Amino acid sequence: MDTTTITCPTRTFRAMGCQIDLWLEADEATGVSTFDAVAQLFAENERLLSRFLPGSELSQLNGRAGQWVPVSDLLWNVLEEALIWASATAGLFDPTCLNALEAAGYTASFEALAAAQHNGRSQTQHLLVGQWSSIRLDTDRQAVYLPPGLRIDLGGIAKGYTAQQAVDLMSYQGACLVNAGGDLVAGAAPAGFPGWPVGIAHPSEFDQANNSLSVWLVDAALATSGVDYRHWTVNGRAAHHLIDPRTGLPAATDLLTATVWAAQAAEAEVRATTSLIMGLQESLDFLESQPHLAAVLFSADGDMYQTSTIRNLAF
Amino acid sequence: MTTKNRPQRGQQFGSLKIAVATGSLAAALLGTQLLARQDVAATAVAPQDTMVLNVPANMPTTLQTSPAVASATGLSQRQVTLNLQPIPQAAVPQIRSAPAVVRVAPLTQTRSSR
Repeated sequence: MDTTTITCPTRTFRAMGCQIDLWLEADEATGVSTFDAVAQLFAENERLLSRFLPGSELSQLNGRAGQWVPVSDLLWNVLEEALIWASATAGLFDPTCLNALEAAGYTASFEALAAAQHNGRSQTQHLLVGQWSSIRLDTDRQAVYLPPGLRIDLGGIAKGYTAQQAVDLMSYQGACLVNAGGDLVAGAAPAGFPGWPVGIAHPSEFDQANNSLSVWLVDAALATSGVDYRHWTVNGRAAHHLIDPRTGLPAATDLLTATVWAAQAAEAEVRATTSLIMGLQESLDFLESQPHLAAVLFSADGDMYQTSTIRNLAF
Repeated sequence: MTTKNRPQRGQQFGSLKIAVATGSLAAALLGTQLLARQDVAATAVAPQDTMVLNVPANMPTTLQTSPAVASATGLSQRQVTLNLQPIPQAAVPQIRSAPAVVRVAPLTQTRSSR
């Protein structure tokens, strides 16, 4: 059996605290100009939406809790999307987790944490239940009101939103694929293939070199959330970046990673995150009840679980 | 003379027009009635009855009545073919299979953020 590879212009760069990889089925010149535009898009969105940049629009909004603050189209759209998903998941996804994240020790970008071998502060509980619903939006003035003391983090959903924007932009030029720090978003399929061939990695504790499963991805997104990589210790206790809004603490989960396929990046991202928080049995039951989703879950002991729908994508 | 004849000729043509129009109207009404009776007879379904056709989402796009159904519904010797458009479905995870002779290496992989 012959092995085929897809060859097309590609580019790799860093943005939003992770590695971004782009593929575009087009001629080299088109690839260069389109990749430049996409890199600029990621840089601009990071400049506005990063919680680690004191001058970002998001940081300024967080610093003005208790006031109405007019915001840009980008911040408005991403925040609106985050609140829609907070509502759709009954608050299991909650963008108001920034105080809890910092209390868990996630006070700087993960690269900076790793470099400084930062061990975090003592863990303090910041209960979040329903806190997202206290954010007020004025659509006429495109202004946001955060109640005093409330701060938001748009990390994962901002990255997914930007990756989706990148695919929308690149799709004008041809079939394309974006890998934003492990979250994949695909446009049309490359010529002669039913989709972009991509793998689902084993959790980092296990065999990272080989994929657990290979799937075709086309006009859809595949996002993975995990506690296998971004974790640290706080006073000798394990901590990670996925906060359970019900406790305000890093989720006590029996999953290492959750990978979810969805038609849009935001849903894939949110469902992967909430699957981690729900844990193996609850998330598997939920995902099986949603025929528009497909998923692969890895339990803490390395066992793989998958929804029946993932078989429709596998090769 | 010419002026005297004009009203008489106009009256004649007027009567003729009324007769033709009345005849046409009567013929049209009669024809409609006859067609309505034929339709009722051919379909054997009372005009006030509602027919409900449940179409599963995954059925073929062409539906043909079976002889048994045709007989039960009075459609013997006739076959009905309905050309159904595919029903739009929400996006679901589904992909065409790749050609079996081709093995493809994954270009990249999804994993937790780093």
